[in-house]
Amino acid sequence: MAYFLKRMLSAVATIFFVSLFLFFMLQVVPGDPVLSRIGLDEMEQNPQLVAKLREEFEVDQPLWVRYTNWLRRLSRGDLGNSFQYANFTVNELIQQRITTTLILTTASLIMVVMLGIPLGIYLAKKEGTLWGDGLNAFSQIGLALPNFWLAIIALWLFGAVLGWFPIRGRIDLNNLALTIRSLVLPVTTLSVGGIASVARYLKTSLIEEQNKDYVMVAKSKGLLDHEVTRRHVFRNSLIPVTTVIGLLFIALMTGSIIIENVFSLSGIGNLLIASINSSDYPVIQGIVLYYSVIVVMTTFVLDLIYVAIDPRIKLGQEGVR
Amino acid sequence: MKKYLQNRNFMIGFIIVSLLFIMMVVSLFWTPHPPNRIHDNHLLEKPSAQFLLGTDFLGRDILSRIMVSSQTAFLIGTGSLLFSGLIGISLGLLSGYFGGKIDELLMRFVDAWMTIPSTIMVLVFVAAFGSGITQTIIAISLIGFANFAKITRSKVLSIKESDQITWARAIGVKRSRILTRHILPDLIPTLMVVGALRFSGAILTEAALSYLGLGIQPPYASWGNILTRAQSYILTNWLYAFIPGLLITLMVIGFNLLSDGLNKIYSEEGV
Repeated sequence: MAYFLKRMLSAVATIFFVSLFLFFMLQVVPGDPVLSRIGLDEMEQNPQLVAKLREEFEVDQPLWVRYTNWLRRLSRGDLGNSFQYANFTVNELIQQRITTTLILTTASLIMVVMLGIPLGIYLAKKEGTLWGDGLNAFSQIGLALPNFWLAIIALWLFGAVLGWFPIRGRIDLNNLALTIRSLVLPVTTLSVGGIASVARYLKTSLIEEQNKDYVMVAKSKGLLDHEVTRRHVFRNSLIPVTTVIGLLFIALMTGSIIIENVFSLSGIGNLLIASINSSDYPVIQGIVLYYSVIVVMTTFVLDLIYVAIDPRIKLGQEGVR
Repeated sequence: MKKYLQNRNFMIGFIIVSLLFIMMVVSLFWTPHPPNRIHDNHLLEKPSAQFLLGTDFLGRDILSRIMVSSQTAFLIGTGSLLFSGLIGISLGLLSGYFGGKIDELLMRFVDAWMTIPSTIMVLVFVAAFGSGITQTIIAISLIGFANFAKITRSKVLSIKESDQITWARAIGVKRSRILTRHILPDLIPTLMVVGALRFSGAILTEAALSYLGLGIQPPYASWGNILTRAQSYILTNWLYAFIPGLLITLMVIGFNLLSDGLNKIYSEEGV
């Protein structure tokens, strides 16, 4: 319990510091939010509106006032209003789009785990053979491919030329057939790098474990090869893989930013890039905060999983491993 | 020397990177057409004898633009490597050599820094400071330095305990001299391995950033910003989008293999 609380506290502290850092970084170079909301013509014709918006956006307030106001609203779960979209709060904008991002990311994570882990075991088994070397080279390429380029080519080939998948996809839970068809290409292209890195990581970790003393002992006891793999090697190799999968979830989350843009899917990644282009700071801050919370929560959950699968990690004691 | 020649990964990586480097050097002096020249009556042409990869929406020769983009790639890679290396290695040396309070403070900072996902960091940076070559280099360095700092520190900690350093200290060699003359040279193999990997990371980040329109800005050509345009015209000229991506991939594979190979060579040497 003490361990749990300590972790929890450090997670909250991290979110706080990250938000502080990002807030100040984004405030260094303020554009004119009023200009981006109403445009130059309206600004010249309607000074009253300008004054009202200036007050709403706290343009004339000093930095620390804006920060404390932001924090106070944040504690009520209010992320403020978008500069650009007058009718929506930041929260509404994000909530409309986060489902798309989460579906895309989760589907990719499942795909990476389902393909990456068997591939890793297979690679470890075939290590040193010609076929194994070939697959290895293939995974090397998987790591190097820029996923957005892969996405562009896939969209062209399977979307435009062959017509198998929609070019303008949409994630809509009321239209499952369209959603699944729209997801195939984004999920596949987003997963390639992850599959390659999980497979390579698991391979290295399996080979390392195989050379350890306890495996020799188990084999000399007369356990069959695949039994040794299943009961001992795999379980121990799984610990580093858990870390990778946690990191992977974060990587897929941020990787979906660019994939959403290639496929014009309206997730928060797409919104983030649009907001950067229009200097819509409240939205940028809001999205970045969402990402930070997701990252910190993932790390937190990972820590708990560690304890569950590896009894060597003692509760409340760090650095025992 | 033989060890390098016999390592397959190193050799393949070396050949790929050399070829790209040669293309970069050639593009400094010669391209089929000037990369920014606008051919008004040759808009969006398909590949032909005159324009081997066709022309873009302004009538510029695509092949020439792809060639000069290799300059951008090497510039961004080298620039961010130098910048992040300088900061990271200095922090790592300070932290590892002096230990104690400085070490704890610096490492706390580096650990906290590393929890921020790199993509988010880069995007927030360009959101605040705008886009361009300098911003791209700095943004990429902001991710890279933490890695250098951690590895330098852990290496310094192990070297510090070696007999050579103990003797140097015993006979009264100055700290700054021990750092630069004894510890730094021993770090070089490790730094080469990490450096090659960071280089390919920098290439990928730059390409993605430029594709999103937040990295290298036209008229400067980069494989990433070429891809943005190429995507819209992919039905008329698919090579326009295919070649830049292929070159990014080759560049990344090349540096990854170099890093792999060096790692193997050095670990067999027992460095």
